[in-house]
Amino acid sequence: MPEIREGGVNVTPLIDIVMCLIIFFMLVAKIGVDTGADRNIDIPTSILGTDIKDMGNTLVLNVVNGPSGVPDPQPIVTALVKGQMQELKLRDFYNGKTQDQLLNTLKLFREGDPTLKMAANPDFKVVIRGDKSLSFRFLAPVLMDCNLAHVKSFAFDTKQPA
Amino acid sequence: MKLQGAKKVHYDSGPNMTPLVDITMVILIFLMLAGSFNTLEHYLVSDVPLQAKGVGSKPPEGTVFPTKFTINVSEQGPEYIVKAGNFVSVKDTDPRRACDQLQAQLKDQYKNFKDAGVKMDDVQIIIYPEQNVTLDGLVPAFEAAQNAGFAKVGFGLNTK
Repeated sequence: MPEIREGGVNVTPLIDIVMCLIIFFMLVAKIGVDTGADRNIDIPTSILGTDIKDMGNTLVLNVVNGPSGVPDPQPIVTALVKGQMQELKLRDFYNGKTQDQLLNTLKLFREGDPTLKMAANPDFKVVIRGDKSLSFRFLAPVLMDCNLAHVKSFAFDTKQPA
Repeated sequence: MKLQGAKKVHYDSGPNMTPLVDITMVILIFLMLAGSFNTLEHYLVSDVPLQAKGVGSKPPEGTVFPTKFTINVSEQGPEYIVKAGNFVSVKDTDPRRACDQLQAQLKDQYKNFKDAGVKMDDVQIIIYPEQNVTLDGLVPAFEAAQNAGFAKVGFGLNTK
């Protein structure tokens, strides 16, 4: 039987507390969960607001004003699609055909695609992370595409007042 | 000569916890720095589809149409103008202040609806903003409607 001698610092309470803190941070922190939200966008402030629990069931659309001084200006919409940040053009002319990238993406998320192993998700929501200077002329086409894709619910991302 | 104070004392009191403490401290600091808690953001949710002509399909037979009333939002220079139905018209340079007045009026309207026996689940508020109204001006109107008790708030497109 080895002789046990008292001495040094008892680190047991320290380890207990540190372990509790690690478990807390692991449960609360959302590490590595990228929703595609562009943190550079200055979102509006609102007092009212709810928390979306199921962020995995959403598509975050970063929307900013399009260029001015051009005919038929379009908003600049970016989103995380298939793990990559992409610009989703509302009307994109390719090979003489019009491609509604935003509308097609919204339909893809909602209706799914068996070839891409994406299941249909009728309850999928859109989160609009719009710049506070975003004018309604640029927001309206985005809302229109959500409507055309039969997205049931959308939400505006806002920050709480300081 | 051997000094008494230089005598090395060896303790055998269980496993050496120092590496464990080092690693857990590193993990703790990493989690504290890397974690995003999203506590500073929240969402204004709308379940009402955009109201616009030519969008959607013919409703099925027997559909109960909701009671709707509109809020028009416009910005003319420094003035922020908000009109709800035919009972509120507020003009102010500060959108928040204008929407506080709007909210008080909407609360009265909510009470009127309830007193008249209207099912509040069937009432929709549709906000019609002018093209130049910014999101910063829209959010207070949206909030005012929801704060007044109306759960279904959506947006409409002015076709003119």
